[in-house]
Amino acid sequence: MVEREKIEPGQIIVVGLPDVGLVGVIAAQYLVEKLGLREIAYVRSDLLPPIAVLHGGLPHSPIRVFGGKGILVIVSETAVPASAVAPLSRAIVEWCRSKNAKLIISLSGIPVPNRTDIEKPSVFGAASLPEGLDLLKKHDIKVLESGIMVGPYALILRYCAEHGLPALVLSAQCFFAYPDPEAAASVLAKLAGILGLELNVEELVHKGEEIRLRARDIMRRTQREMARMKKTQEYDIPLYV
Amino acid sequence: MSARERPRRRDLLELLLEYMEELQRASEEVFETLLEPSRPSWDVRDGCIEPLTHISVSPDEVIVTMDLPFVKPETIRVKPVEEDLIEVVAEMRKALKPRDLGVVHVEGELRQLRCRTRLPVPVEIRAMKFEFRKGILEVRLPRKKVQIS
Repeated sequence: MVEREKIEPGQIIVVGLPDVGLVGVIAAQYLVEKLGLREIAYVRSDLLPPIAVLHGGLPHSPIRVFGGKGILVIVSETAVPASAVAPLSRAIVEWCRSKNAKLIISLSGIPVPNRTDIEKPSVFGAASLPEGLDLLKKHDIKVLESGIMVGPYALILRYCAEHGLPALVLSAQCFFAYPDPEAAASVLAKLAGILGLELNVEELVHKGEEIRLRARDIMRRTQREMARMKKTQEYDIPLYV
Repeated sequence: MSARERPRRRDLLELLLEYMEELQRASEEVFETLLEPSRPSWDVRDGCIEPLTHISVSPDEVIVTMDLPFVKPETIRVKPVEEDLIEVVAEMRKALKPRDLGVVHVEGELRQLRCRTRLPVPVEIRAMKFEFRKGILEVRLPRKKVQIS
């Protein structure tokens, strides 16, 4: 992680990486825009595809950290290669540790086959520590009691648990293979409750079709990496004897 | 087993391992080719954007879903092209310029969502049904029953 400026320790860190429904990426980008955050750090790694993301004609890393308002947001603009998921997740957790993160909140989706029947996606959660489960319940977020998580959020949660770092994963019901701005709105509404933020997510729902059109290509590439990660295991019924 | 035979047997094992590695490399290449998009998902020459598609196969039917944002539902056409190929075309509510999607180096217009999808198992293509809800098109095709004599 390369820091562009001095970063105050003890902040809440929100993570939005490409995953099912691109829920985390859509939600994190919306948060960055609405809070008016600026780029303060970025990931430099040979494990990522050889790309530069252009903004205003200038090159940027595809995975950046935004901040400036007492909150840090890590967001990726490219699909993370399956081979890079473990080292990237470890690097993110190590960096959060070095910044003495108050709480790490990953925004994600949980695929449901009957998504078209659901008007407003529900949000579920998991935590790295028992105190985190209490926080979820306090904010009326149903706990994912059992099941399988696959991908960067799974590893971030596990590594945080290993280090005793407080972390949550918020997952909204979503489409598996299609960008899902409504799910992103649901997860953001819960995040705003936890952070005590005033955040209007209606615009996200209103701009849903435009977002779905723009997000097709990153979703397509994310699908490919999810296939490599055996992401469909999240549909699996957990084994209990 | 005589000592003289051992080197020959080791060679066979090595050959087998080499063959297995080659097979694995070939299957990985096929996997890459299938997953890696080899062309852009839009083209101003025909004014089309290719929608995201997902196919699932159950014992009784094949379900193809497509994400169709910005389309006029009444313009959605689903037609069989071959016994195992369907085409979906839908007009967008307004023509978009690549610039609207953040692409500034190409001029032109995008007016349709269109794609052709190859079906992975034999289906009764004339019996297909489709429904459009919440921006998602769902096409259901009953699988062909195979008579085993």
